[in-house]
Amino acid sequence: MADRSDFDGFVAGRSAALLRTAYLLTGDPALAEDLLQTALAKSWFAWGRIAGPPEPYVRRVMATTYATWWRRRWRSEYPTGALPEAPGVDDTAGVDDRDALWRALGTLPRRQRAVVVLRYYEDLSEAETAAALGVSRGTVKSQASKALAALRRDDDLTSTIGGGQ
Amino acid sequence: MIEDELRSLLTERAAAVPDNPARAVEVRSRIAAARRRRVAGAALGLVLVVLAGVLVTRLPSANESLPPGVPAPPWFDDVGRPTVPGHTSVRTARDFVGPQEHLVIAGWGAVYSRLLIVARCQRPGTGTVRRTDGPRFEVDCSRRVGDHFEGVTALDPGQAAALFEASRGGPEIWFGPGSAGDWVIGLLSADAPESLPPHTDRGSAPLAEGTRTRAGTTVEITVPPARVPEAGERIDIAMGLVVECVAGVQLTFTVPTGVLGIATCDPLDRAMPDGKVAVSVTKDRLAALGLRPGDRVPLTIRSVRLDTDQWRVYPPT
Repeated sequence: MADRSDFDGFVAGRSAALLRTAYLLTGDPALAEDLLQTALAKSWFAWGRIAGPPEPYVRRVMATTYATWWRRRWRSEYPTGALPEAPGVDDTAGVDDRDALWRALGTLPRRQRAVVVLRYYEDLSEAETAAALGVSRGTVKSQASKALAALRRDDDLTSTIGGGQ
Repeated sequence: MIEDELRSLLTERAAAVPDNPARAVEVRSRIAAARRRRVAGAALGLVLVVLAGVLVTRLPSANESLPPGVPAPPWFDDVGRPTVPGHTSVRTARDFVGPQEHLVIAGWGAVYSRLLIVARCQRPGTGTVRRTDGPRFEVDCSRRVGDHFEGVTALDPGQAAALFEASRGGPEIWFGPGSAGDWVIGLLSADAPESLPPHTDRGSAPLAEGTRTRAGTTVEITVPPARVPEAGERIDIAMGLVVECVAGVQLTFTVPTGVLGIATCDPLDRAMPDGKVAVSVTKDRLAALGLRPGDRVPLTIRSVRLDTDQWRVYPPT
């Protein structure tokens, strides 16, 4: 069980890593900091009741906050059918590929984006991802499958990196 | 594969986000603000709950009226003794826990003119007071008084008499709590609130007065002559005795052959205008006692209550 006296140490030692996850979820450094601090403040009230290492708990709070409450505050990014910028194909294709994929990631529904971040950045298993998001393992599988399918179908990605596979 | 592209992209982008050295301070500030909101929210919630409770407990009481002569609660003092102005406690029983009934009075010999049943309970409910072989009365213990509830039920002279009416071995009166928690039940008798006005009618001197013979007396009377009925009129009453008295007085009238009648005095009763009550003796009753108009007969008057002498009996008419 976590001790509240460890909270400051946890913030100092682990919050930078959590910030990176928050950034991948939100796509914006300021929003990522806001999300992370919100999750940390929420976790503080439950700190004495957390069983085991606190990081998975904080990550879960962050992920669920992003997937639910966060949508009420996050007005700077909306999923759209057409990406705002359509990069062309030239000798900087490698950089454009990354940008296109990043933008395509921003078009995913929040839960799908969270699944992608947790599965492919945090390298969590399906079960761990399900636990982090408070959903079933089957939901994680289906959401990941839909996310990847959407990214493959994206016209810009198809034109730049061939749709994957 | 797109999964590999994703891993590479996410790692690359994540590494580029700058850290915030002031995060610990900012998080502490958020925690403090959240704590203030929680306290304020809890206080607001508490206020709403209290307001709701006040409404719930006040609204139903608004239309409830109190028995005549009974002031607003509380009807119990700090140690749980019944105290109602103008009334004297005759029986208190406490530490009842429902739902079973409890015997509160056995073999009681007193007679009361007007009774109050007061109840004090921890939770609202309807208690019952009943006589084993007689009537049953309810007391609604739902008026909030501080940390508990109270209730009152008034019994008119007829109900009080029915509750305490003498029977073989005396009455057994049971009380049934109406909710969980401790109950206190009190029986109070209305005090004789006033003295009789001075007698001023020189033409009708009293036959007997309590101020002279508090417990009663025996006087000789003459059964009045029968009145001739008018055309179409039927007269069933052969004799009447008028009694002037204050609340709580009860007089019994007997002749050597039996009981002539009982006068129960309750000025709050509509049947007692001007503080007077009439005891009517029917022709059949008179005949059953072997009396006829013009007979001279000793009439014994007995007062059941001895705590007042405020009664007068006038000659029969």
